[in-house]
Amino acid sequence: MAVPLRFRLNHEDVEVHVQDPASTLLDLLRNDLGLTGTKSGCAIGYCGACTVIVDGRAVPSCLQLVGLLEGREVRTIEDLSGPDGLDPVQTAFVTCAGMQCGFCTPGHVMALRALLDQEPEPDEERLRQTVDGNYCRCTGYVKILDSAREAVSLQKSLTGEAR
Amino acid sequence: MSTTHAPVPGLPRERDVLPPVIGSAVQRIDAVEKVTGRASYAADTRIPRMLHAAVVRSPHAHARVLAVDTSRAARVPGVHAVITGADTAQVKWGAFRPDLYPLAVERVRYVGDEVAAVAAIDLETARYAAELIRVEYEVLPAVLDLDAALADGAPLVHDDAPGNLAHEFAFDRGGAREWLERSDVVVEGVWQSTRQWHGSIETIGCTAEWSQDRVTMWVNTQTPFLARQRYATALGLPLRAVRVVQTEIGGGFGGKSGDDNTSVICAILARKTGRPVQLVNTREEEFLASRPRIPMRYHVRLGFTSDGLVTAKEIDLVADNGAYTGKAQAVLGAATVRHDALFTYRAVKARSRLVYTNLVPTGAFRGFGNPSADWAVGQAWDLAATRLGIEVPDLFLLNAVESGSVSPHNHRISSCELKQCIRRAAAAIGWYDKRAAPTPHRGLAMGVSVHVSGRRSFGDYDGSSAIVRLTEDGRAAVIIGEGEIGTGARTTLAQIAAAELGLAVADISVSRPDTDLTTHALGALASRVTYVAGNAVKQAAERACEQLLAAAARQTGRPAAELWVEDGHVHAPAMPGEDTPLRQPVGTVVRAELYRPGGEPIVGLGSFDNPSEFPDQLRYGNESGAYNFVAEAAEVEVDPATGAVTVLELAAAVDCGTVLNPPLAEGQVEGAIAQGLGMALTERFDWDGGAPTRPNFVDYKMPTAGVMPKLHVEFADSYEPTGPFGAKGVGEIALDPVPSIVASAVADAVGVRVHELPITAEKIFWGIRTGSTTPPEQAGPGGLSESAEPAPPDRPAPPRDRAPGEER
Amino acid sequence: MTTLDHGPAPTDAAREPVHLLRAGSLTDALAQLATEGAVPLGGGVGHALARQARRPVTARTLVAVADIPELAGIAWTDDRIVIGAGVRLDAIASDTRLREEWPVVAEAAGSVATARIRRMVTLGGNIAARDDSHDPPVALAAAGAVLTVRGAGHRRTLPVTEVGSLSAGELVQDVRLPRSTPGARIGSAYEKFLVRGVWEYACVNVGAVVALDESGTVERLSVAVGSVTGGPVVVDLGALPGRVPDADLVAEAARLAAAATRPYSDVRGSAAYKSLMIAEFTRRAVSKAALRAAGGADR
Repeated sequence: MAVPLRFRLNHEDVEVHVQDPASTLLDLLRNDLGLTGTKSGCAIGYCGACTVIVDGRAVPSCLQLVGLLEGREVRTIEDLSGPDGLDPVQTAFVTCAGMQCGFCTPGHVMALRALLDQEPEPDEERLRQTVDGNYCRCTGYVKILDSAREAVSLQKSLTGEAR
Repeated sequence: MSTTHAPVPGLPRERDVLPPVIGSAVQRIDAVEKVTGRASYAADTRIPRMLHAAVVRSPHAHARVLAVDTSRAARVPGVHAVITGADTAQVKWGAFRPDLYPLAVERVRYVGDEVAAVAAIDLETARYAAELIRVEYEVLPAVLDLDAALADGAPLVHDDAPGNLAHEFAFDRGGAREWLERSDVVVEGVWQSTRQWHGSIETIGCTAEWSQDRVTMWVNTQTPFLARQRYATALGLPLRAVRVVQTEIGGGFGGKSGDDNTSVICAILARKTGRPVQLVNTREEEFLASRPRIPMRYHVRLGFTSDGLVTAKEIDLVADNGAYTGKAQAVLGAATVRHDALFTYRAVKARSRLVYTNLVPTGAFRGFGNPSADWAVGQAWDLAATRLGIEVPDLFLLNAVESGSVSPHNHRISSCELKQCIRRAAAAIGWYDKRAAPTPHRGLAMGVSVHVSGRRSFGDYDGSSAIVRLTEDGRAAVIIGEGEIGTGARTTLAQIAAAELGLAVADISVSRPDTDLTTHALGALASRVTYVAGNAVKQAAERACEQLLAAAARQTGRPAAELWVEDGHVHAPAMPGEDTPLRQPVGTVVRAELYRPGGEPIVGLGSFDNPSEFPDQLRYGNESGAYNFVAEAAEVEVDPATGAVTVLELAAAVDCGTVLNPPLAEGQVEGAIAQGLGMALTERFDWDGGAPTRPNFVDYKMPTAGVMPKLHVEFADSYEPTGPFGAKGVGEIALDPVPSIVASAVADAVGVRVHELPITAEKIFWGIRTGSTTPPEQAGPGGLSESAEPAPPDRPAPPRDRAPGEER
Repeated sequence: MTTLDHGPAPTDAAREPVHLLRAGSLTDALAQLATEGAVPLGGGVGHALARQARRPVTARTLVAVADIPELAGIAWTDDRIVIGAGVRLDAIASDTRLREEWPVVAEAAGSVATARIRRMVTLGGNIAARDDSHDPPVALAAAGAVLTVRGAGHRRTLPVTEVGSLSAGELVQDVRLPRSTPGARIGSAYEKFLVRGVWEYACVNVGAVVALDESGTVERLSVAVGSVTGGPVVVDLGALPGRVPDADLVAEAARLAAAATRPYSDVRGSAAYKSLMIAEFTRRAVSKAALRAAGGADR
């Protein structure tokens, strides 16, 4: 018996009928909603590849039970870019060569997006802590940290322009 | 002795004046796809009616399969097929020594060996059905470490491999024992490495679909053409029946080079069900049944004159093949001879054995044996420097090879800036200043390595071919089967084409491999794509450009010699008496050439075969046309109260010829160092009964951003005469020396030299405390046992699957 | 999918869907938990992991309790601090007053995994998982915390170290910490040894609390050790109170902590090594706690 579940997904109200409320948001996104930008790397909350934003905070979607999502707000990597172009965090990864294979990139981008939403001007320590929550096997993190710093300054300059 | 194949280039040709796009920080051509999540990896493939699959694996290290009961699984609603070994062609396959069945036939040989598989409407159903399959085993005695496998009367992993030897060879080039006897200083020791997993964040996966009698496999393989050959063998099909298409790849590092069964099982299920099937490894399966780095135990003897000139080296190498061979046989060769291209040895002697065990099969991992070799031999060099009283960089400089050097195995080194690298790494880390003012518990060390740019080992061919098609809209399509595993290879190939064609990189597209559509290629292995494929693309682009200019010459009546391409236009100087120079869009020329009566498309073909030799049975032969080099230095700090190591700084100076794209090249070096640090310090499992007790990231800790040292990455001023615009490979080299450097720096800091990787805090702690790196009750000869730590007195059983902050 | 052993065949019932109930109040939750096969669900992390590991699922009904009002928030009274079982670890780690008064607790909560995980995990769930290496229970044990446990029609309290006596249908409502009198010289500290430097489960984890009297003599000393058999273990420190917190006292506390605990060998180290590390990190935790008690830096 499917259970109806209503939540906000990428700024739209959605109602899905889930067979199993104890299944994970990661599976719901990838298998039922076709949002494959969120990647699965370990399914136990370690690698960070599946990071999405729930109620403004970065969480591993592989540990987020769908039954606990009722009424909450979910953002995935698909929400970040649109006809107007890339999110500043994405732009920073592009310009700083912040990815190699790119598999961990959506998770890194979402984690940093959530951070910058909460703290527009995080210090080096905060950036490092945030990046520390995502595995990357390709880059040695140097250019990911470069991208994180670039994202902060890009966002700052964009916010400045908007004023 | 050698099979001379291609003439090795003689004098370096003049350096080309490099076009501006070469050496510039060009943005990756796939960057936007990747940051938006639109790049489609193996598990992102979606085909209508696609089924999902799950595999049943052996829980035993060695057992006879008596019966497999699939009846309950087959009855589960939603299950479309259940297969066992009986449903396969029962043909053994493998890159060098065919010894692996797609699904077990009669015997299983390691924990994780594939026994049966299920395809069902969704993953949950497939997994549930797999759990209902009942396998009856007769457990057999297993060999769980090298010494057990080599013991007299040891159980045989494969009946056709007496003594459990999968492969062996030996040579003495120059009379090493005599040189060692005459040496003033001889250092000696035993060093061993351990299994290291690739840890790609994306696991191995495949989607397969049949159409009539052909199967198409969308696979995240680094080597689509080589994998296709093996898949065809494993499926019992002619080569023509298999088409492999490369998906986006979420990290390779050798682990996705087609030696495991995942794709083969997927294809069998797809045939049986008549529907597309997707099979993706779980993280646990990736740890149990991919092909990690080969644990190697080296006994090294190294001789020197009293003034520090190296004389000879002797090694006795045993390597843990695991249950199946894959590419391990080729790795053994590299691990035996490559490092002899670093120093001017008078003689080298080696005996190398690849030994079957009932453990996870091993294979190719970035560095291809060299990280283990450089760790063991590098430790001997470090000991020698101490014995000789010579600073390590100075000892290296005394003995380092140079351009024009030839190794005892006929490695012919055309370009070499090893000495420059040594000096620059020493300067970057502040070697002599730090030596002059040592800090307690801090240590300094240096290591060097050499790598190939492509390696002739998959038959007598290490070539690549490319097609460059100029399009009617003024762009260029590079059609090549090499692929992209994340390094940015497609971007650097686009730069090479852009440089030759006078087009912007944004106007170049580079294909993904498709064995039906692209050129034949060996793929991303052996640091070969930049060098081998780069040369092929360069030639194809040159030829396309020649055709373009010939067409433009016909169209404009100007001599081709006066024409050139720049900014997407064909240019010529103004004719005498005219004011305006000629400026014609490339697309216009291409279209006019195609549309003229009897017109033709503009398509350039390029081909390049690595100017190297296919090494003989004893590994004599110039493996590659170009060798890259690195020198790395590190400073570490050890907490003597715990043994914990902090790597403070690491400097790498790399000779990869011309750097085509600095951020991409730096990324290769930085990432390789991170993997090297993991191999050196943190990556290991607890083992029990021949398997990791918790085969996931809970136990297997790879470096995170928080533990990375400050890195200094520099590139030597260097030019490879046979490389495209002077470039050589750079993908693997920076990993190789890291374990050795960390070990030497720890020894320098606290006087403890660890002989078995990884260099754990605990080993250092015991070394400081007791002089032995094993716990007091464990002290004794260290075998290459996977369970190096003592048996737990009261370990909670069974091991729990846990993750951070687990709650209920 | 990994099938690594025969084991008992899962029954077809195992595929029946699990029900998830969202309790609106504590009364609701207790009524729901009183039914057969119902278990409380906090942040859901443990449940997600159990499914991923394909452990047999016995629970038929999950009762989501993290957001019910009676389990929310951190309340301060004159003599106690009441932390709701639904409070997430990151809220505990970042609570300014808690960091001031019980740094051992805030530091332990903040040492768990990464910020993303701490955001999901509830304090009650972390405790109820009964994992000997979990960080918050070690700190709470050192601090002498008491659990308020509710069942249908009853309420009882438990020392945090006795969480194993929770029975089906019971729910941890909150965790209570004593308050110190104003001006009291109490210090506490948490030490977690990440043997590989990378965030992970502790090799050893130790919480320490030191209270000094007016003269600077140790009035109360408490040490709890995790990642050991039966952990967290509160170490019996015998006659150490009454002495001055000097190097000898710290060394003696370290010796007693190592002697009183039985670590197990695993990927993070051998039992022999861990015993010595328990001593080392007890030394560090007690020293830091004593320094804080004396009003030193880092209070």
